[in-house]
Amino acid sequence: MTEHILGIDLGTTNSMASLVTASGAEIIENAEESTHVPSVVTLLSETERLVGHAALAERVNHPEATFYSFKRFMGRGPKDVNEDLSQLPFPVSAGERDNILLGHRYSPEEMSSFVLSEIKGRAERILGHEVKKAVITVPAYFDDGQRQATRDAAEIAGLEAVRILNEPTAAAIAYGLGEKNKGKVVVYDFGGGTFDVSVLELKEKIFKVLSTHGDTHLGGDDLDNLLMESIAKDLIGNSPIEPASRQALKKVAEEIKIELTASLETTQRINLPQLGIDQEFTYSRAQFDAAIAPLVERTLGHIDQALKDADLTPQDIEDVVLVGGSTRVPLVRHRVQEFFGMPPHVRINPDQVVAIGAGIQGHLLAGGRRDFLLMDVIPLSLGIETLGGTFSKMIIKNASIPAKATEIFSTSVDNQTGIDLNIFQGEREFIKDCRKLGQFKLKGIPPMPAGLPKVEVTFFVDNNGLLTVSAKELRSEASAEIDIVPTHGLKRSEVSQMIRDSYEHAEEDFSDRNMVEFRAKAVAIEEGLKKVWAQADQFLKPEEIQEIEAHRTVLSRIAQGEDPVALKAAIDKMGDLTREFADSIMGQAARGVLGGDHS
Amino acid sequence: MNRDAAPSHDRCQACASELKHRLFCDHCEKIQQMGKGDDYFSIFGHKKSFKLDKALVEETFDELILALHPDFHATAEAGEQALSIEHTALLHQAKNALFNPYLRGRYLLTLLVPEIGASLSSPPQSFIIETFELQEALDEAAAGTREVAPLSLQIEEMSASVQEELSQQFGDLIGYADQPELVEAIQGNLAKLKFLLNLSERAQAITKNQ
Repeated sequence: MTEHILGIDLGTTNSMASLVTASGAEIIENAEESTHVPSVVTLLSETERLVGHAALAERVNHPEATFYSFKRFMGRGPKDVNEDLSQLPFPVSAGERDNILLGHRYSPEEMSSFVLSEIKGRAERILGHEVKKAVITVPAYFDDGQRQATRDAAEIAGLEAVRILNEPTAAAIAYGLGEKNKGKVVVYDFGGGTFDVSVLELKEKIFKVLSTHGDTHLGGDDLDNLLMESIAKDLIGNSPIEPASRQALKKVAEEIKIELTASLETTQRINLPQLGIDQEFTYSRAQFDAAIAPLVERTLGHIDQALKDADLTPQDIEDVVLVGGSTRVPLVRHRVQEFFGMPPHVRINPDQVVAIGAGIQGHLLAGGRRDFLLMDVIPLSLGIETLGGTFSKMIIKNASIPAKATEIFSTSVDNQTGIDLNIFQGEREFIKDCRKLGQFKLKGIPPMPAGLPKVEVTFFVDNNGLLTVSAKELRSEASAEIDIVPTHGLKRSEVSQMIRDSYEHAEEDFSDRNMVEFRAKAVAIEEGLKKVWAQADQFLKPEEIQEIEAHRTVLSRIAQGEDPVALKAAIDKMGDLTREFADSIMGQAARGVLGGDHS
Repeated sequence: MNRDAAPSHDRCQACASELKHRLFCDHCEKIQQMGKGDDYFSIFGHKKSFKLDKALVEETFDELILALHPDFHATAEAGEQALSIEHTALLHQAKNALFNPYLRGRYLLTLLVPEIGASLSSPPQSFIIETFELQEALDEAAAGTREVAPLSLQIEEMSASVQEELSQQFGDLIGYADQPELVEAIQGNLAKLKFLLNLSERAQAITKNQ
């Protein structure tokens, strides 16, 4: 092995680095210092910057200059962030390029780079050599913009991110190599700012992700906020709270949360001079559970979806691995246990397992070992627009990468010499409900009747998740190609909405889609008939002509209605009535147009 | 090396050792170039047949992916890395196609009768009428006025019988490819199979939504 590749868990609330050494994968630390640092930055002046514990300590003294939870803003625009920014003690504003600025001048990427840079410096002091490369973890549900932002943060900190690895998958590596390596497992990753669930199949050396689901805006921060609101309501009703008191309350809420992990009730001294409050405050676990229950239920909904995507039920799962600090909350463990009907796996340290897994993957990429393989997936389906605005999926979500798919398409109009290829990502049946990734034109197709050109479209997703689309007309060899970065700029709320919608509207889309396709078919039949109808009397008996004429009227009337079943029946009947006629007068091209072809 | 020359299927292109797998040499760990005779079946060491030995494909897939995956070649030279990415994508694509009976049939037919290409035919009218009732029953199941399980079973049984017939027909076609009527019959059965797989997918979606 020629170089060391660190594994870094760049978390919403805590970050740390690991490295594989002779004694195995370990968090990088020694008696003096550790790479385990809170993801907090305090900017005291242009030159004076505190990162980690030192910054965390300044949170109450300098609330407006102490930045935390900035991972939530990575790769986002102001419109993407749907939380109430005025609740944050530090200024968050929109920049000129539809970007987010913290403290009026720093991008979230820079804030993250301060944390990475701190970790890098500490790791170099502890290890005694320079560090240049790292595997950095992100929530599985991070989109490409967010992944790119993470890459950028690493670059700013002087680190090359050789791989952006999904957090639950990193945890699965550590679990699979350390605990057991066979069977289907669920990784439930409830961190400081995000929630992910991944379903994996472990097969000795091969760890395969079957499905993944999540919410990049659901984490321990949200639990703290709910708890804080509940406490504030008890203390002062609905009165407004200024930043310093808010920070003090947040600190109390975190302490209460930790206390209630082990005990059923806790009493804390609360001192909020600005609000004239200085008292003992007692809060019970039952109150805490009631306050956070809605969020915990939401995580169960995501598990349900992930299992359905993998065609599994809770009974198929052999082990549930808990990752992230929020899984220490008793209600979370309790509800997960109820959901799966078995106690979750709690032997591994939920705070360290992601960094450890990333370190092991780094070791593999550095050529240090080859005794396991992680097969990851694409989170959303990829495809192109076809007839009538329908979305034709080429690579279905949860497909293993690298992935390739090829399909043959054709033209819908006679003598069409170019085809526009519009590339989309999403789960719905219509492109209007999916996210557009890009477009290009295939030109130079020789004039031919509709349906005759054969256009081969190929989608290719490489091992880093980058998409390339190419198209070739097989008769003329005309070809075109485009590189695309999937999900770039895709808003998280939109993705969640797309997926939610796809489940709610699946049935409705189906008949909608049929109607669009059938109408196009009916129009094509009518067009085809018009072209050849002058020759009808050469091949058809008068009563046959009459029958077809009558059915033409019926068909165009039904095509204007909304009944896909009736329209399909009418199209099929027309196919029957005209089949012999089509056979006798024309070759294959005409048969296609006259409705005998169902492809 | 000359890419146009048909490479040996038995010997490594780098060290001439005997190959266990078409795409990878266990001996010198070199990734092999694809040759003209290679197809989805040959890369898994499977004979051309509609009947699939799933266990063989699974097992070979696992062995190949552990040899070819780009994560194991991250420190290799660019050409080797690119080949590893391409081959791994091909493995995924081939496995997907082989495990889907319709895609497998379509692919095999294209291999055996290249001039047919991927052109499709439509299921016979009688079949459409027969399945129309099934479609209506699925509509009722989606609306919650009917059990979906018996319908799923019916669809699976129909699908199994079409596949049985296809196995037979492909067996005959592999023996002697110049049989236009047989090709037409296979195309008809493939169209039926595609139709049934779509129905089965719909039945599964209804089951999941319940």
